[in-house]
Amino acid sequence: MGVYNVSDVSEQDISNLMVGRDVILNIEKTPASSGKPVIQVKDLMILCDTGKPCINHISFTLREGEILGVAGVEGNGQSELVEALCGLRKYNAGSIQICKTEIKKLSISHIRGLAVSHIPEDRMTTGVAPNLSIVENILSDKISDHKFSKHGFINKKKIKQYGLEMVKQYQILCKNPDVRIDSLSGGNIQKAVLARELSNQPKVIIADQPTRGVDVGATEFIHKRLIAMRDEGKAVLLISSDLNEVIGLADSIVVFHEGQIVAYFPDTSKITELQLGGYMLGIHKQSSNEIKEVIHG
Amino acid sequence: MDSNKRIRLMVDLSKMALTILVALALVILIVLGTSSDPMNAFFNFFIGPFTSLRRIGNIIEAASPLMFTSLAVIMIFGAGQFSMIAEGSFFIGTLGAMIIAISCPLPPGLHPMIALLFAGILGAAVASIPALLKVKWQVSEVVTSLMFNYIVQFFTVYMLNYYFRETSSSSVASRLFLETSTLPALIDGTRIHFGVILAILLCILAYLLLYRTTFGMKLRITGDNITFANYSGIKVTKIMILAQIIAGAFAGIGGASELLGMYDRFKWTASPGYGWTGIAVALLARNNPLMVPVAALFIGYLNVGANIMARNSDVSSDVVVIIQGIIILMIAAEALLNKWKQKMIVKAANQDTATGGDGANV
Repeated sequence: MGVYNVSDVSEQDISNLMVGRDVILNIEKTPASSGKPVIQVKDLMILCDTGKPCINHISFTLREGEILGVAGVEGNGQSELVEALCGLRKYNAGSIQICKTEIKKLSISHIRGLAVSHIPEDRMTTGVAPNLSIVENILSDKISDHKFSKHGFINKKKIKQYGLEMVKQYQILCKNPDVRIDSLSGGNIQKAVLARELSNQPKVIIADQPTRGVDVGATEFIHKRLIAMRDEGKAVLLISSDLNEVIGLADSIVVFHEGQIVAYFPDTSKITELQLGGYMLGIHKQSSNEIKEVIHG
Repeated sequence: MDSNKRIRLMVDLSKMALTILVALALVILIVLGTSSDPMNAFFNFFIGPFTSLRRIGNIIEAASPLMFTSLAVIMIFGAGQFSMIAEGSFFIGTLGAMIIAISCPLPPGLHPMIALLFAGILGAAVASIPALLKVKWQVSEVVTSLMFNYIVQFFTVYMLNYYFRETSSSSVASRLFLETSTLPALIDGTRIHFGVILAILLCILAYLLLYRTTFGMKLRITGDNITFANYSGIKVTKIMILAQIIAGAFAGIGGASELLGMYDRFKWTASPGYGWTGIAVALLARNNPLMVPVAALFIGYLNVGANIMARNSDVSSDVVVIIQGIIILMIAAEALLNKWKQKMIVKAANQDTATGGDGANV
């Protein structure tokens, strides 16, 4: 597309050149209108394999129609929290209620059945089966639905049709939905993950590093999708190491440090990266009353 | 077919051709180095199997048990497990079939069916043990299945020696099977039996199971990435156990089919090793059940050729083991021809972009 001097181009210019059209780096969204609580975490405690607590007595509430951002230096309990919310990890004390159902004893498929979607932090290890086709990857969690199979036999026609539909709707760049998913670029693989996770009417979306290693064009697409889901009244939990993303996308933010919530910001429009950084590194900590507000009664 | 798929198929086929070529070249070298009449040995090895109807029949007979065991291997490996239990399941299947064939008088037709069924159940039961040990206590299925193969082998030989042996004979063999128990022969002048049809039916069944059912899709997902399967809400332990049980049943039925189709007494004092050869066949068939008959016929042809050569020349039939070893090595070598494949994919993508296609994925 050309050779430029570093001094002559801005981040915006580079993005536009890479994608081939104008990219909106600033995330545009209307104020959130939050509703009923969807996820209620109370006094949650998770011990790591080493026996050390990686989630140390945290409580928060995620409501319909809002994006709650989780900021924090990686390895401060975010991954463990996500795994516990999705049933991938057992928790030791406290409770997690999703849509008023305690999930402690539920299987992963049961939790998915509560309309929980999970965009995993590492798509290649958790998010896809690399040697299988795009459509098989999109259908991995719902192949037993009556829509796609009867009496254990899959309906090839319906599956093909669904694959084409998803590829179009999620703008996955590929020859056809039957090619192996590992022949796609990172951004397109992530869009396929989104197609799987967002297409079955979720109530809760747990987005763990949704745009990590994804090109600018796909990042923009993913941001728009998440905001659209929020506007439809879904609850979104956003975990990201990209502070710009957390501040830009989330409606409110909690900061994690050593397995605890050290700060809660109900309004993201007034926060700066610098402020967040202080809390993330454990230099500052809010009072317990300020933090308690995230429970919303 | 899109270009990537075509390239992959082309590379696969070239790899197969190269494998066979290298294997055959090595055989030629060995024969040239050891035989005093190499032309005679070559003739017997390559052409020998086609010189009479009986010999052509031998190829098909040799392929029959391999189809069952390689299907078992495909099911197990497909679920990402590395149990070698096909060998043990096959041999326990022969034991089950012998018990029914000798001591259970039943009407013809029904008799072999019950024997096949019983053998399948025994095979499944044996295969489920390494699977359950892995799920319950994380014992490596590789180790337990290998050890279990010995237990099965000695148990079967023990049963033969102490309960079913023909006492009037000095050689080790069981009592004669009841006549109602044998599988019918299909073609006069050969020993091709009903088991071959059963094997082909099972190949089709296995293909449908893997590619047309929800279970098969879950199995393939689990085999490809178990973390992802678990995250998708698939009950991976159930899938892993079921895959091995089905595989065990395939191999067990294979044992019964081989015994009742080919013999009137049980004469093995050690396992014939079809479970091991089944791995080579499964690799050669690229884990595709529909390719299994072709791969099994090829290995069957090599075995028959080697036997004819051993009988009619001064070269031992052991060369066939060398060929199988090379086949496994070369097919298992994932990186073989990879550079060439990469080059072709890049070329195809470049052509695509030049013609305005969507080859270059953004």
